[in-house]
Amino acid sequence: MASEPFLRRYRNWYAKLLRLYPKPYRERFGEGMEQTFNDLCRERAQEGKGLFRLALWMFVETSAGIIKENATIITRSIMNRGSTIFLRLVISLIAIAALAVCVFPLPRMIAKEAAKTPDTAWQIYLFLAGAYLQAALFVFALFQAFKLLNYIDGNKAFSELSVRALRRIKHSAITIGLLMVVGIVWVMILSAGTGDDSAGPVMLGLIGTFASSVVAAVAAILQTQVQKAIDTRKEGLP
Amino acid sequence: MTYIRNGYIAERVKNLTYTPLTPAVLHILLALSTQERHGYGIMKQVESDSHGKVKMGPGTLYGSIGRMIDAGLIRESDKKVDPEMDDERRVYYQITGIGQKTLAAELERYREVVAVARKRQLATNLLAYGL
Repeated sequence: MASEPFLRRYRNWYAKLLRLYPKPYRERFGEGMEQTFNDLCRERAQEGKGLFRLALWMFVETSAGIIKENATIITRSIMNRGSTIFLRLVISLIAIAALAVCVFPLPRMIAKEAAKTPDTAWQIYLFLAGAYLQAALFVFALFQAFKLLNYIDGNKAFSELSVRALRRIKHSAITIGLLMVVGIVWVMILSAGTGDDSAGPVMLGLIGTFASSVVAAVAAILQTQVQKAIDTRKEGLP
Repeated sequence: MTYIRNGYIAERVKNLTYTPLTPAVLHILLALSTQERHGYGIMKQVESDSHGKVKMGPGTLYGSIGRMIDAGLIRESDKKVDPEMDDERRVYYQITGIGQKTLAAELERYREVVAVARKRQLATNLLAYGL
């Protein structure tokens, strides 16, 4: 059958995707999921229909499952460990790195670019402003994550305070993602007439957009889970 | 911390057992109520039970299966070959006693809701006929 090589390729990709599940989950269900994926694809192929849409749908659907299971694992491991020192350290290091990039290399790079083309220097400065806005939002989100860790250590993980911190992280991530999209569109418009190759910056922007959407999705899931836990506890204690 | 964690888990299990089930959980229980099935078998049964309206992908299906096993609604039975398919061995899942009870309670809840709806419908009909 003509779809046989496609089937094999999709199954390989799907197996790779499944590696992103947390290990215990993958060991429990990985094989079954792969079989089920294969069964569904084969059924579709035997009906003589195209595989692409079905496969795409299952990849998206499984990705949502991956984000959800990882968020659950992260919540559980934070709560079990009781100590959040390692996460605090990581967050602090990331924040310092982000600030360092903003203070030293970024302005120098921009100044060099602006000197090259003085006529259109305002465009480059606008980019700088956008980058600083994103950095500010990023550090703000990290600060909220730090506060969240404080709540967890103070036994206030399931409180309106953590819901608020998570909501702020979600909103920051969404805004950063939107700024990235605006930046991508703008670079494409600017480079359209000039023949400059814009693939590099656009690719970077796409990666950034993807990363911030993942962060936003995880924050949103955690937010609803915490909210749900608060609500059920309220109902449980009249 | 332990207390909170246990409290949270206890509440989750209670929810799964007594409050409205999510459509995915309800359909998986329905599919397993007559016989044990593997993942693909559950999917096919759910699709035919719902006349194609409920379409689950592997992510939703196995996510729900994991949570349902943890809550004691279903369990893994055997890993064996499905004679109607190929010679690959597949894990079968079967409903537990708690699962049966949960399903019965949920169906009873639906019956009550439908009964109320019928009564209302009757009342409006009577009104429409000017009685």
